[in-house]
Amino acid sequence: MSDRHHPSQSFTSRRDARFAPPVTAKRPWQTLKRMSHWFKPQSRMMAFMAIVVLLDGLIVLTLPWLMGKSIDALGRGLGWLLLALLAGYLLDALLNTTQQWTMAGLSQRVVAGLRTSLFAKLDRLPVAFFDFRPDGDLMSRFTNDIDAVSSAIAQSTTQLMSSVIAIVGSLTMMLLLSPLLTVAALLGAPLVIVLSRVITSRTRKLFQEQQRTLGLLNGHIEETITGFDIVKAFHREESVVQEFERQNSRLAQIAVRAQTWAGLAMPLTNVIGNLSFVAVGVTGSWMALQGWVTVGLIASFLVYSRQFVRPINDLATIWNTLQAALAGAERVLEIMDEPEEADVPGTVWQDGQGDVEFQNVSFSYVPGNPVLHEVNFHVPAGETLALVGATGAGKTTVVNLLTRFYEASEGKVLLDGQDVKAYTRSSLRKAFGVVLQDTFLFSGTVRDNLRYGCPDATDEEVEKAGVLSHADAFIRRLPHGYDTHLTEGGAQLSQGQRQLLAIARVVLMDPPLLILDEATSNVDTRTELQLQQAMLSLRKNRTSFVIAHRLSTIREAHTILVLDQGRVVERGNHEQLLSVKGVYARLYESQTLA
Amino acid sequence: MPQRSPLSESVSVVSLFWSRYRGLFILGVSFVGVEAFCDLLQPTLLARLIDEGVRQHRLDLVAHQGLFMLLIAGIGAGAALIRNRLASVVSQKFGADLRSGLYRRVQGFTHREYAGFEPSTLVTRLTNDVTQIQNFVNGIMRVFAKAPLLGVGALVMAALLNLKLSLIFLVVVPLVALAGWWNASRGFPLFRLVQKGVDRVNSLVREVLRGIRVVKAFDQFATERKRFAEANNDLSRTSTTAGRVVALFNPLVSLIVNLAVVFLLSWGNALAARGQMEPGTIIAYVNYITQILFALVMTGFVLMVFVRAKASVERVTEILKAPRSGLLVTGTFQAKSLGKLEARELSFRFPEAETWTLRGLSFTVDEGMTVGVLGAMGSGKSTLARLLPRFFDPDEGVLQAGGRPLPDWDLGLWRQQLAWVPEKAVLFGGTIRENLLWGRADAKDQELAQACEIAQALSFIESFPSGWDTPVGQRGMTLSGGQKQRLTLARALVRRPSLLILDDSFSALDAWTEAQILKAMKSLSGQMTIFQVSQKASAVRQADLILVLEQGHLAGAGTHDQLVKACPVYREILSSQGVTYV
Repeated sequence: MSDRHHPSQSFTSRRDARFAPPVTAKRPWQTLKRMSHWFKPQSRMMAFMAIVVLLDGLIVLTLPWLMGKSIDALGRGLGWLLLALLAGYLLDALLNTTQQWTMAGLSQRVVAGLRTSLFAKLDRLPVAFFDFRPDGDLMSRFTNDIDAVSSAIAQSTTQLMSSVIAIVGSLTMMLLLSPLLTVAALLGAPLVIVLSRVITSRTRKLFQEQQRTLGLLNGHIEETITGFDIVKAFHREESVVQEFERQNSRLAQIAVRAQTWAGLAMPLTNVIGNLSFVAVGVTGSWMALQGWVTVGLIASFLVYSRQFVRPINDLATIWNTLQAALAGAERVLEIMDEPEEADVPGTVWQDGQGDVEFQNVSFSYVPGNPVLHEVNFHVPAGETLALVGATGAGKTTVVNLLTRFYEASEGKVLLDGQDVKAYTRSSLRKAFGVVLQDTFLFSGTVRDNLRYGCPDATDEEVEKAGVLSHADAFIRRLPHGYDTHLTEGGAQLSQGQRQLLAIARVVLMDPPLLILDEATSNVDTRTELQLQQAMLSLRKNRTSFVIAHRLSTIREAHTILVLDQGRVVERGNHEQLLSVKGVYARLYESQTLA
Repeated sequence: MPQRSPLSESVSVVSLFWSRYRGLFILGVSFVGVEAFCDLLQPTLLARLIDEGVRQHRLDLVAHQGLFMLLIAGIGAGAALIRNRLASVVSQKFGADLRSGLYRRVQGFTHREYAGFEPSTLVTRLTNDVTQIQNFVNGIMRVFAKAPLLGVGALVMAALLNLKLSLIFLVVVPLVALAGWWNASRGFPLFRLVQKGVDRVNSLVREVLRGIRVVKAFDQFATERKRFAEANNDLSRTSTTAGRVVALFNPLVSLIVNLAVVFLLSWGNALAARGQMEPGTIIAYVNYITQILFALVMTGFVLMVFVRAKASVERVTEILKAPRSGLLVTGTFQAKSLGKLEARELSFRFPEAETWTLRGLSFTVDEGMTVGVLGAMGSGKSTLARLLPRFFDPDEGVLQAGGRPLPDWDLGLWRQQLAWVPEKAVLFGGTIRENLLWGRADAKDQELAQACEIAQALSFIESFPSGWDTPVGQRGMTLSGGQKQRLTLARALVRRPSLLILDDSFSALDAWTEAQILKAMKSLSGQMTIFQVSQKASAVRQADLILVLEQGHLAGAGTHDQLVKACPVYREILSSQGVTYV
């Protein structure tokens, strides 16, 4: 009897899908239509699957009937009935395997396609998009959502299809065989539907409450365990345990209720299955006594009624899964819809002088909240400009505008006399070598990372850059030297070592213009002293922008710009600024005068 | 609030469960047994109904048997309701007990014990692992126990119904088991590969998201896209293979069982021809086969969940049975003030470390002095700061206050005397005000404001729409690193400690703000002893005493002027930081 059990599904994902808070897609049809873009290359496969599902559904429908016939024919020779049953079961297995086999390939190809599209989209999104969105959110769209989307859409649709076939088909078969027995068999059906509704809505509320309480408790656990030192130092062990116990008991109370209600669904279905079993058995036997039906027909009915009730129960789950998948799809499509970095065809910047000018540049990340006010400066090719100011003064924003991570709201940023917007982004970015405070390394070897800006560099060039940036010594102490594999972000290195690698990366690139944004903030002071010479020679004859808190590192800059709340408040070289005895001079004294 | 008695020492997860929930657990599983038995009776009852009632034309037997079946269904339903409740109560309460035991153990950890675990794994053990164990208990008291009971029961019932026919199970059961084993042994390695592929894809995405500025600045998206395409195709391929292996399993098992049914029919036909078989028996048999199929597949699933739960139990047990170490002696001595702070030949090394982190430090600090601790990364200055709140005790030598070694002091009262500001600012869930009150629970608003003013936090707090009541921590407002550091400083100042320990506490602040804080803190000088650890010479140069550390040794101690004259390490640090000295 083709009464398939999928316990692994029925026990975890299904239950979760069933009681998970209702996620509803905002525009299900439109979303489905747009998703079809990724399904389209698979449309032949999809059509093939639909046919297979339909065929299998029909075959499965005839089997209980054949079985009933066989039982009636017991002892009188089964002949063709046995052959038909055998053929039916074999075909069912074959079609079923084909369906699942095809599905495995199909949904994976759709997922892969979707992932590729989304990844490619990242390239075209402006930096602003990433700045204002937590990484975690994007990650979950990339992983959970995409996976849920394609597999669930493909699977739920076929499940929906086979469920409908089973429901309609079983009902038809039962009505054809005996309308009276049908009534007996389905007595329980309305009860299933009503009760499972009640249970679902009740459980859903409790599950939401349970999730919320669990979230609070887990938050408390995480904070107080990672903040272990502080709890100890402030002698708060007692009070955090008390707070924990309060939330823990509360969770236990709610969880007992939620689990009790959620646990009702399975036994309920079972009970109703049993009731329908009894009803069919007794009514059928009574009818058999009257000579209206045969014993075999009772057997067929037992199967049909189960094939009818069970998919009804499943429909709610499938529907929720589909809804959740569509909601996930919407979250993915939202990213696809984000406005892209417009790259108007521009001139390619190549072998220019590197003369940079800011003309009345104003900028705000959030409209109405300007971070730069009419900033003007000119850096002749080969000179160094240092930017000084408190956090939030606008230093990093200047860098963002130079590299066109952002574009000036007002005024112009000129490179060699032309607005930076007129160059292609790609050529502009190749012109700048950037070392940022928050160093980022990629998984791969040290060598791969140093080569990041110029993949064609030879091993000798790589190592020379290592020496120049004072990274060579520590790299050689790593287990495999330049071929040491760095895990994500170079977690096994210290902040300072990561910064040295970031500097070496730029040294190797040998860019015409240089941006050092707190490039040595985490390097220990002795190494920094050695590095200063290297940095000086790196900056020589190269237009450079330097941001540093430690003023000793920027004394040699041709021009120092002091920013305060987005405005230039002082400018000049080190000596000039010291002599005006302004902000710069006071700060410099506080840092250096003994 | 129900009070749970704390776990006794080094108790195991199983014995904890058994000692508290043995009764309810046995009761629950018994009801599962009753439920399974009722399910098992139905097909046999139906067989009798048909074979005796219908074949012998006895309407009374039909009615009688039907009522009996109803009664059995009712009893089964009752048992199911009871075991459902019991399973929920036992699993959730046990989960709460386990979590509580673990949490109390972790909060009772000494620093040495705590250092044996990665904090993030402690958190997952208390959250995910406990949930896994809890789900397993819940499952056992429901369908996990029912499946084997049903399987064995169905075999017995079928054999009772007709011993000869039950020979068929000798073929079916091993075949299905074989299919399950084949599926698992092929599937598991594949799924591990899939998991690897998923991890790879995710880590590439995470890298690009986190390093987006670098990718863009170096104009390297094409490279990234190539790396991603490889990983993506790889994942797609392995997932497809894995999916296909699993795709074979369900149809295969169904086919085995269905072939058995066909065989049963043809055998039954032969038997019936000789009058040795009734149709009701065949119907019942078919039902039992279905139940056995369900039981087999479910048992395989239970084994999988069991393996996962077992791993969780092991991880949790590591916490419960973590060896006791670094237990701190606590005396009874207490004093209103700190007195003179003195270190004599202080040495310390971390467990299993080969070299001394601190070696032979001796110094004396008078009450109310400001002490600067200066040194490069890894010089041991942070460790020194962590010996003061007695996170660790020195391995050799003595640290004493008020003329008494620290272990003589009452540990709680000693810690109440001091306030510690770590480099990594940590705030907790709650409002700004609640966080500041960690310093001292009865501090008045005015005192909070004073502390915040010194810490240069007042202006940004007041700029928030909800001011002091702004929620912070994980679920609250996102504060910048500098804002957090300022709040942790304020929290420490609220405490009005006799000893304030600043462990590189201004690292996330810009020079401006740091200068303002240092200026404001001058008003505190003399009121408390201040231990200020820093990498920056400029931050500590006005201290009454500067301790210069190099690789765990004291390279010099004295005022700025004295050190400039006498300490080469100090001069080197100064010059490397561009500090000019006269």
